[in-house]
Amino acid sequence: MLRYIGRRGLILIPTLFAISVVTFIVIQLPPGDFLSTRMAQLQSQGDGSLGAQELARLTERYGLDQPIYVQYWQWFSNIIFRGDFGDSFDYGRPVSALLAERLPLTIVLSVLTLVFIWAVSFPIGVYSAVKQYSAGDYTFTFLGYLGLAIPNFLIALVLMWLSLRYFGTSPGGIFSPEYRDAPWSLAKFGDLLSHIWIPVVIWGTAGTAANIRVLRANLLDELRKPYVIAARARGNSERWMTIKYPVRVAMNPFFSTIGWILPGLIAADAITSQVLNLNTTGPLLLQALLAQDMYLAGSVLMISAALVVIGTLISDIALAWLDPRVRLRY
Amino acid sequence: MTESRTKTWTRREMLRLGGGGTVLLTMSLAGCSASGGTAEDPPDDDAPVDPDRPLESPMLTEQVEAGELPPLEERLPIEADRLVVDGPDSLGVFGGTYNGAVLGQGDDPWLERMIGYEPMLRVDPQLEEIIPGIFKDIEVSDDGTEFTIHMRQGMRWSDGEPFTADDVMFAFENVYHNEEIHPTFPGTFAVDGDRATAERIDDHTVELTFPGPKGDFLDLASRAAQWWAHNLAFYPKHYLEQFLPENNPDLDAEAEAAGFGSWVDYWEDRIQWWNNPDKPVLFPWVITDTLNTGTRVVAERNPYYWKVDSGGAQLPYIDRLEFETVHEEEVMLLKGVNGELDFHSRHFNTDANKPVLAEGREEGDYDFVTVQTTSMNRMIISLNLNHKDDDLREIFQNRDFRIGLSHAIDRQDIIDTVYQRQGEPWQAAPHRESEFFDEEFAKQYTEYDVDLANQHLDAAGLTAKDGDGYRLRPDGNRLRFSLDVTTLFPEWANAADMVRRYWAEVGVDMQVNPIERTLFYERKDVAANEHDANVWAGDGGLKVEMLETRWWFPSGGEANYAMAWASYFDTRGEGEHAQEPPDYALRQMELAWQIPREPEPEVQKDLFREILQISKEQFYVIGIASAADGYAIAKNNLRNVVPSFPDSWLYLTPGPVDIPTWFFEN
Repeated sequence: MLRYIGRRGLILIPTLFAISVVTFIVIQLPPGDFLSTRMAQLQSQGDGSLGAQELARLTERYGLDQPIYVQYWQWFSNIIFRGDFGDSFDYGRPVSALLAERLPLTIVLSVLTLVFIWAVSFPIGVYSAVKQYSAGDYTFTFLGYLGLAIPNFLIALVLMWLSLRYFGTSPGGIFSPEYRDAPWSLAKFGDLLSHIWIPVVIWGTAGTAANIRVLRANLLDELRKPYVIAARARGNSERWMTIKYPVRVAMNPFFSTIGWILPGLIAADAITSQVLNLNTTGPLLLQALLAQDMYLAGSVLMISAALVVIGTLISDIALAWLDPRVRLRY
Repeated sequence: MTESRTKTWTRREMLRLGGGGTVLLTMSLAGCSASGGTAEDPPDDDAPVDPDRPLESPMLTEQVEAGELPPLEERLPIEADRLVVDGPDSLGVFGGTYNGAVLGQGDDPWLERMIGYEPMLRVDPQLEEIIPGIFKDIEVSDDGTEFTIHMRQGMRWSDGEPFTADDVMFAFENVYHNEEIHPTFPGTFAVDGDRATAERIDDHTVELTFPGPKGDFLDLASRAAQWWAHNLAFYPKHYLEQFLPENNPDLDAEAEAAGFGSWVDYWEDRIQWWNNPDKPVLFPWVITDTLNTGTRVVAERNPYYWKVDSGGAQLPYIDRLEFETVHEEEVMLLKGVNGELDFHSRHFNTDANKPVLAEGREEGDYDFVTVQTTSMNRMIISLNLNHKDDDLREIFQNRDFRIGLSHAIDRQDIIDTVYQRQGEPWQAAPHRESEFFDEEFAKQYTEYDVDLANQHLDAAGLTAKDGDGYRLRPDGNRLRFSLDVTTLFPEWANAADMVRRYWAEVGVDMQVNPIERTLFYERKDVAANEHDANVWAGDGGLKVEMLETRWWFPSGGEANYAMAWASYFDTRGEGEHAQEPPDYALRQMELAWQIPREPEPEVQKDLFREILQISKEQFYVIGIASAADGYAIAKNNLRNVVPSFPDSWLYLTPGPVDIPTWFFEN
């Protein structure tokens, strides 16, 4: 096991290096740079532009006049030698501080969403498999597909409008303005709940649908296997038998996706968060990409890529622990 | 108050006085009231003022009683030097929190507009006259070369330190003369590149001496409020001197420790007040929660603010401003509809959103405020007169070609289809309400007449056509070019497509090229010069005619029709990509260079009229429709908001509408 983890850890190094190069190139691909984007933004808001000298000075300050490989090396060498992800041009603050500010809410939302997905999809998935082609199966399948098919940001806008129109909830954010500074109280908690259900439900619908389908398909496979028939022949009660044997096996996908939470923490569904005005890491990344704030965008992408790799490793280990049939090789 | 409401001074008069005789511009205190120029009733002078009316915010009284703050008298300038400002409605009551929003990190200009409009002198809300600001007065000598700055005695920075001539001298000598911060000396303090000198007369007087007449100095002084503008009242010496290398040998190390590559970067970071709560300011509110942290910006009242109302109460009335950081304009719009924004004049206030906001007025308890446009046109088509391709350049420079294209456009149809019937056919000419308005200029060649268009195009020598009826270039290829359109205004895409069809009818093959705005800027940049033609709005044309000159003659970085000629103007011919313009444009540039040297405003205007006359004759660009007014939203319980104000980033509007006098009615 240790050898396995060690080897996977070693593979991480070239992978991350490759990711960093690709990331940097992709960020540089659109025309212009941070300053020209910023200028265009100022123009479009009618704020007028910076003078040519100011621009030249800022270009030098941000190192945008240097060749791309020099810019890349500055960024990458600081990360590996000093653990410094650089400063965001836009915020003028270290990338690490910006991320730290947004992590708590991102983690809370990710975990809540995951719990929601599991809590909803597990029973429905089992039900759909056991009662295949029943009215209930069709209903849940239909709802699941709807959730999967409608873009999240669209649901977000609609739910936000509904909650504004019918519940009078302040749109966006995680608290209403009057509770933002208030100490924790039952009312503030209620206000939190009145906001937080929207993102959880939105992300939940998409994730739930996928999980239901996977669980249903796996379980259907298992239910037809001889060991199930054998168990049934021994007179086990149907419900107990289903939960004890085939469901356990069918749960593998839950564990094989557990590692995906990690990258989700950093690059949470950016567009939905953006629309809902949630101060998570997603909009930070989105804005950084739009503004060509390259160190911020590059670092966030790097970290989230690293987390994908680590998360996959964790999933593999969790799966090996759960299912003795899984073998760790190479 | 009524008696003391003395004559208000127009910018023109101030400039004339500046040239014609030394006059102390400071009027009686109440005369400085900046409420003039609005349709609202003046404050009700007969209403008895409550003798127990508090003269400072209860929030500050508490701090004074707790011994944390000196009493009001010690915080304000001496009585004769306080700036008295009344809002258009009435005297206000203290307290409350303004709720607003900013659109992400890049939106610091909104904070500057709301909080930071404190230039050396001010303009009134309608941008018509220059009035006292941070400086009590700037006295001008007969020949327009000496400017004596009179400061307010007892005025203090937001941290309580006195604001004196030392700060002004520091700004002039140490900041503007610092070649690393300002590689080129600011033009505000120079005439034709020759620097002015500053002399400290006493604690509250500084004299600037220019090498020649500086006709535009008061004008510049009344709008230099952006953080990068040239404002002598922006740099608190006692705080900022530690960030200059001459006063701090360890500065480089400190800059490095703070994460900056050089001390100049560190300096720049420290003066950006919306991200640095430590920088003392002269603004009505002081930032306490910065833009680059958390999810909102908070500014609290400046206990040392130097303006009072006519009842003697210290401004501002509102204790606290909060701006939520919103990332999406749609969310901002929802917040507006929901009545969560006390005042907003940005981002979502488009024509398309007006019906939604209009519908939500009652429930959201807000109403519209007119934001007068200072543009003259919604859409201007520039053909690249400096095109790299010899044939295209020659065709585009042919005036008949442009006139033909102009006649080929059915502007009324575009206005009806795309612009909800708002506006009238208009060229790139001053606004109807402008003093430089010229009906002939505005309406020339706007008549939709296909025959006339064909005549002009034929006259331009484009008589040969191909099998599809498209005109051919001299080299025998089809005359074909693209029109770059950004998504800045969604209407442009539709209007441009209509123009494409009109031009196809007269045999000109134009393709609409919708592009992202960064690419748009990159293509039209003088170094690249890759665009054939493009579309932009008609900035300037009302109230800022002489300041925003891009459409009158090639000037600045936005004259899309002749970037290389504009570069010639901006760099005085020394730019790498500058091209010498033809005689008529050169003549315009010479006139433009002459204007600031002329102390007499009427002479300046005559010179400017000559520039306009040449652009009328040359017909550089094709305008489509006159611009319509925009709007802002304001909550109904927010008082002292003017019903209408002109929009101009040069003046950081709505900054000039006296935001410190706003208050919430209970």
